[in-house]
Amino acid sequence: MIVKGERLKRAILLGLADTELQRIMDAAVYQSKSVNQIIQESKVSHSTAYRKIRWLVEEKLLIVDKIEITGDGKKSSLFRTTLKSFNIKYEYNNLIMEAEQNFDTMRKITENFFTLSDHGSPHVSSSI
Amino acid sequence: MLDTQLHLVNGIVILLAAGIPLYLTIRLKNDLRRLTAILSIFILIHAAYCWLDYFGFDFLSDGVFEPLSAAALLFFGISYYGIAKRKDNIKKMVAIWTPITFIPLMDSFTVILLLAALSIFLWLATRAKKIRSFQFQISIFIIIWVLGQVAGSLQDDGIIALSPLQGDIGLEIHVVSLVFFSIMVWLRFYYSHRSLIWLNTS
Repeated sequence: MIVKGERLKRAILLGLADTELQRIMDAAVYQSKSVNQIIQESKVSHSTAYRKIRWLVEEKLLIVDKIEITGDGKKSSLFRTTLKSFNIKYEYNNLIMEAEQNFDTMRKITENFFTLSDHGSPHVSSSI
Repeated sequence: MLDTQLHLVNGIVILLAAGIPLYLTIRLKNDLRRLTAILSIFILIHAAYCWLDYFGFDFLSDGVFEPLSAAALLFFGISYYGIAKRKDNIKKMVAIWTPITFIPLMDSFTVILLLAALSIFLWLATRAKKIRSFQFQISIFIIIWVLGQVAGSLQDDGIIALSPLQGDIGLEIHVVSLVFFSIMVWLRFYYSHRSLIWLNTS
């Protein structure tokens, strides 16, 4: 699909330019991961990881895919990237960006419609 | 005359609601397709009931298609429970008290089917604990539908006496239930869709 939103285009470019952001996204491409798992895999410091994950969620490059109940009864958000590959072309005054979605959109819509998604809300969470 | 108009409104409103699950059934290519297909079948059977009523085929509408649509709704409830169980890891379903206040209604097969479907959705709604959940909202729809059935039966038996101007109270409540259902389906789809279209629009 062609990315049309200017804000999302800028966010993708920033995400790819920043090695820590890229490592965080790499960690959550194929599987939904908790913040701790992302920190372990990306080897980014705790405070930076929390700040950057929050930014990625705000820019809608990461979503809360599931909410897990941990052994001690606490809720833990599992994050996943919304996009998995990009094709970027720049010509004078024109940035064309193609991206491949990382989930089945119709399935997500239907899960939200029937309240079958794990977090039960169709909205992207902005808090981690 | 009012009754005919209400049947017409019912027929139109329920067909409007059919659009969303039919669209999802066509577009989906996974296990959820079965669920949307069953919901579509329920709506189409109910639409057939409304239109047959409108054209005056009372036996076919009230005797065949109405209980059939209630049975389809019950089947949808069972299928929904199956999928919710997989998603939510529900261990077992506990028995739910079903309010059977009006003994004469036991004769009504439709009401029994509706109450069975209602028990499933109410139970799932109590687990979801959210007013915005599908389970809760469809429970409201079934409750209004059942209230319409009850009011209609009581009016037919002469227990409720209304002036002729007020017409068929059961049918009027049924219109309310279908309008509620149709609005619910469209709003739910709108909000579910809106949350995932930002990729192209923001």
